[in-house]
Amino acid sequence: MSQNSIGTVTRIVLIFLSLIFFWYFLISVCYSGVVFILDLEFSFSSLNILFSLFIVFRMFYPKNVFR
Amino acid sequence: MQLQPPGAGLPNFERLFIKNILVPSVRIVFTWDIALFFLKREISIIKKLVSGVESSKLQHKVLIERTFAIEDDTRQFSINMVLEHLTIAGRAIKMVIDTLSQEKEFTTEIKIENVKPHENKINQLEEFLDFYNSYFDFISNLPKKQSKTKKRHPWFVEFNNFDWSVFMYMHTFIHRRQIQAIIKELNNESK
Repeated sequence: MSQNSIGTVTRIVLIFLSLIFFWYFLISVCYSGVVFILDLEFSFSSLNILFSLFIVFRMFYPKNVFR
Repeated sequence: MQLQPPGAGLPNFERLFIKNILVPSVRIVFTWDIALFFLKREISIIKKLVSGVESSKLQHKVLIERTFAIEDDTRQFSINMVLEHLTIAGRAIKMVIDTLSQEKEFTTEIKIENVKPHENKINQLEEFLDFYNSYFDFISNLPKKQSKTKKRHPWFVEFNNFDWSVFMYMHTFIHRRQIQAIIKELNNESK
């Protein structure tokens, strides 16, 4: 694999990581808002579950990504 | 050096990686707007890269090492040939997105050989930028509804209008990396 190819694959991985972070950040902002409004206790495990649910949701809506 | 003919395809590992890992992942994390944002970024990078190259070198073909997800014959392109390919392929993708967005079948067979550059002409950057500006307007005004109608990419799977819009970004990104490899080779030649 050429240096250029390694660089391209690395950039693809970084783009994906940045987008995963972007969605995680967006969900954490929404979750924090709900926690603040309803005066609940902030929990990272709840945030991670919400994020996992979001990913599963995105796998099948608006289209099944495996088709 | 004998390169493989146009349409020979990608090495199996790359093709399967893109088809089975990259395409499903892209569908999860991308949206229409994210794809458009990244595409605009790519075009501004390409513009900056190409503007920094002497115009006499833009039509000069150089042999580069294989870069990720390009066909073997593409290794001996000039910068203007890459821009020409991006313009030809981009126009075809725009037509596909437009047709699928109307839930109509795109009946023309898509062949990789048909989107290869054939002119290597001067001032390709201008035509390239004009086309991409029209594409940005087109996507901005397109209702962001994923079509049920699909059109198969010759190497991968069936794509709907949204998949093609993300493909437009990924394809441009892959060829931007190719332009960088060509510039590096041009610089090596002039040393």
